[in-house]
Parts: sequence; C-alpha cells; structure tokens
Amino acid sequence: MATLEGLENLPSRPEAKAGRGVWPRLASLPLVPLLVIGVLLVMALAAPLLAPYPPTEQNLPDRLRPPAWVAGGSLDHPFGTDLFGRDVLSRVVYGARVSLSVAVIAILVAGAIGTAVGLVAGYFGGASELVLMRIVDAFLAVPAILVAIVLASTLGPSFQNVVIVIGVLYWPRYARQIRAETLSIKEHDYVKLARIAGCSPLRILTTHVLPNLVPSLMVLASLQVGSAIILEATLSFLGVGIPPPEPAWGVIVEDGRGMLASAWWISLFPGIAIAVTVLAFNLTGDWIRDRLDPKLRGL
Amino acid sequence: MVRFLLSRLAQAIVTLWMVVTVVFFLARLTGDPVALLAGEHATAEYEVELRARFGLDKPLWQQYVIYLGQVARGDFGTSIVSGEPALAQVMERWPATLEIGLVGIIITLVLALPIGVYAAAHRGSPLDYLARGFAVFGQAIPGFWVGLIFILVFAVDLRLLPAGGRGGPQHIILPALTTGWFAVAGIMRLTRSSMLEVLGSEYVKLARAKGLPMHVVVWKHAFRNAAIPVLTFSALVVVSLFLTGSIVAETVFSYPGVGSLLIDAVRKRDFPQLQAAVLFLSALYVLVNLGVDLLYGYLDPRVRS
Repeated sequence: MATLEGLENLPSRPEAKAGRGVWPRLASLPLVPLLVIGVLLVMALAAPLLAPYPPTEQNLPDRLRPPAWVAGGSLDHPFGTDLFGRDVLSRVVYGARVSLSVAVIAILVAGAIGTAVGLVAGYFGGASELVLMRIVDAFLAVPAILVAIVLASTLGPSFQNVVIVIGVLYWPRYARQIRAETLSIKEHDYVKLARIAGCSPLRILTTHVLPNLVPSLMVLASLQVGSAIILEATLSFLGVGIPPPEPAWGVIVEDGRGMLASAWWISLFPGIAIAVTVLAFNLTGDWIRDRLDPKLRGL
Repeated sequence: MVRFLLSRLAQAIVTLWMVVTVVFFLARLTGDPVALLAGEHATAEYEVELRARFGLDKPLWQQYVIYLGQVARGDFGTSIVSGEPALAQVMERWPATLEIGLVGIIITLVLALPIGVYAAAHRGSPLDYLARGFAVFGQAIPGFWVGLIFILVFAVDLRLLPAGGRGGPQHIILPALTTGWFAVAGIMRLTRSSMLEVLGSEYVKLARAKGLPMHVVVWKHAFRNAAIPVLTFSALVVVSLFLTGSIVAETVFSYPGVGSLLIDAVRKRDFPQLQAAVLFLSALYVLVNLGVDLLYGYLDPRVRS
C-alpha cells in the first residue's frame, strides 16, 4: 500500500515550483548566456567609456606589445597592441558595437521583409503565393556569399553592404516559416469571423494574424543572430565586409594574420569575443525556442 | 523519376542564369563598368578596345546578350593582373579546390556521423554530453579563426604540419578540416536527433525484442533510416557551408584554389578574374546541389511528388 511518508523527500526542480515566487522562475532562465549578452550590450553602448584608448589611435613606439601576463607586456595594454600600436582590448570592445549592430539590424530587415512576403503569400494564396514562393526558392538557391563578394567589389565594402547581404540571405527563411504558419492561422474561427464581419485584409493581418506569429519570429530571430554575427565576421575577415580601420572583430583577426607566430594575441582575442558572443546568443535562442515552440527543433 | 530529374535540372539552369544576370547588373551598378574591367592603370586605347569588345556603348539589353554569349563561350574577359584570359587561372586552380572540398566532406562525415550515432545510442553518457557540448561550441566558433588556431597549434607550436601551400597529404588535412568546420557541428547534432527519433520507433523495438545485438540494431537498422533526413535535409545548407568554408580555408592556408583566387581578385581589384571565379564556383555549387537533390529523389521516392 502506498504511503505518504516519502513525499517530503522528492527532489525539487525549478519547474515544479513554478508559479511560487520569483526565484524559482529566475532559476529556469539561461542566466549565464543572458549575462554575457548584457555585458556585450553594455560594451557596445558604453564603448567610449569602457575602452582605455580610442580604437584607431596609433602609437608606433608601443607597437606589437604582448598581453599583460606575458614578458614584455604591461597593464597599460592588457591585451597587447597591434602593428600600429593600437590597443587590442579597446579595439575588441569597440568591435562589439559593429558586430552587434550589423547583426541586429540585418536580422530586423530580413525579418520585416520575410514576414511581409510570408503573410501575403500565406493569406492571399493563389497567384501571389505561387510567384512569391518561387522568388523565395530562387533566393535560397543562389550562393549568397558569392553575391556578397561581387557586391563588395563593385560597390566597395561597407557597413550597409554587409547589412544588405545578410538581409538578403536570411529573409527567405522567415518567408517560408511565416507563410506556413499564416496558412494554418487563417483557418481559425476568429479570423473567419473577422472576415465575415467585413474587416479589411490589412486589419485582419495586423490585428489577428501577426500577433500569433510573434513567438515564431522571436525564435527565428534569436537563432539567427548568432550565425549573422559569424557571417559578418567572416566577410570582414575576407575583406568584403566592414572595411578597416573600423574595429570589427573579423577585421582585427585579419590584421593579426600575418603575424600569427610572433603576435598571436592580435588574432586570438577578437576570435574569443566572437565565440563567446555567438555562444551566448545561440544558447539563449535555444532556450527561447524550447520555451515557446519545441516543434521548431529542426531549425 | 524522369520528370523529377527534368524539373530539378530546369531549376538548376534557372539558378545559374540568375547568378549570371546578377553579376551582370552588379557590374553596371556604378554606371560605367569600363573602370571595373580595365583597372586603374589602363590606357585610353585599352578602354576603347574594351568598350568595343563588350559593346559598352550599346543599349543595355544588347550588352546583356553579348555578355550571355561570352559566358557561354567561357570568355570572361582579360585579367587585369595577369593579362591572360580570366578563365585560365580558374582552370589551373580548380583541382586544388576540389581536393580540399572532397577531403573536407570525407573528414566531416567520418567525424560527425559516428559521433552523432554513438551519442544517440548512449544517450546521457559522458560522451553524449561531450559530443553535444562540442557541437554547441563548434557552431559558435568561426571557421577562419579555427583555421588560424590550427596553424598556431600544429604548425607553429608543434611543428607537425605545414602552415600553408599545396603539396602532399599533410598540406590538405588542416585546410580540409577548416573547410568542413562550419558543417561538422551541425551534422553531428542532426545525426544525433535523427537517430534518437528512429531509435524510438516500432521496428527498432522489434529488432531489440528479437534479441539482435545493439550494434546491429543501431547500424544496420536505425542508422540507414536516420541517415536519409540527415544527409538530405541538410544538403543545401551543407553545400553552401562548404562553399564558404573552402573560400575561407584557402585564404587562411594560402591554398592555391579558386576560393583564394577569388579573394585575391577582390583585393587586387581584378574584376574580370573575380567574375570568372564567381561564375565557376556558382556553377560548381549549383551542380553539386543538383547532384544531391537527385540523390535525395533516388533514395526517398516520397520526395519526387
């Protein structure tokens, strides 16, 4: 016969206590990744206050100094200096600005375009759906990095070109996902009733359909920020992204490439910054996805 | 099957045509493409020659037709840097790119598939956590940086492998690893989750109930079914990751393939060379995608609808 005695000894989990107070809820948040993202945001916003030196200030007598803990280094330049005497730590801190802003803006642009296309294709169907989805397929088929390289060589590498390239690369995924969801949402009763009541399509889309898409949009966006950051860094490293002397992380890594054996710190630290940033965003994105819609695990 | 083949082929041709067209328009975005095609130190006579050759003083649509004809003939103009036909360098260097690509794919699959399968079969074990941790980290680290770390560790510190250039097998390992880097973590995760799904299905339970040894169940029954979604769903993504990966790896390791030629051409502002490299790589990309698509259609008849 079952007794009630053992029940006090059950291990408690944060989920089991959910709904009772703030702390158990907090425990299920991905604290470390969020903390990292918070630090990055602060770094990006307050870079002039945090960085010890301006990122492009050259100081030739002090060039190629190793990090503080290596012989020859000093606490003046904790991460060392590069070929022109620029402080690596300052450049990495300022780099957060560039990398984060490019990724966020590009994902927003991609999300906006993709959502608009997906909504129209899903809701109106018919010819517009056919045409739009074919365009989506076409964009997905073209090798984006090659187009990025051609664009950079004709228009010159620049911040806005990188945003355009990333936006162009990522919008089709939004379009596909949004269209699929719109297709199912538009069959819900409240949408049908709104149509009968005479609401214009625009009103239906903005008031009824769009709010239901927000979870998916959040999941997609958070999962893609990480890869957008890596793409921007890769483009900058190759010379077709953010142009030097702007301290984008990819640019700094490229700076140090010629001196890898002798001045390894120039390439090392921005790379670590990229990895930590992307890891934080990916883990947060995974957590958001698990919370909001585990069905999207395939993404 | 034939209809499937034809429709995929048609799609591939359309994609190629689109890339060709995009390149055409991008070259003319800033107005007069002569500057792009001739370079900074060109003489006036050379510019006149180029105008005649590419029909640059004719209306746009005529230029386009001339351009299409040239592309079909393999005439991508003359490289500003070398003075030779732009296609020549590409033709010399493509075997190198293929080398790294193929070895990269092999290494990637050899690493990612078994670990993914093992992690799924031994779910919750230390190796599973290790594999998943590695996959999560791996997707956060950019490939170009990994390549540089490889050089630091294997070439500079340990002096085991060369830091770049082309030669014997020891020259291929690190670039191939770097090329596949972007894809390894993703494939491993996908293999693991696909295997986990399959391992929960009825016929696997039957196989185990029959008393078959674990490794037979895992490899002969589960893996074959799990492999299809892995190898094919991720195909488009993996191929584009490999494209990016080989451009990056060739640049980092100074491997003389078409990818590094491309980046070189950008740096030296050699647009004809750039054009040739871009169009070659696009053709390769489209071709490989087509191949994978057809393979998918062959392996899984449900796709042919």
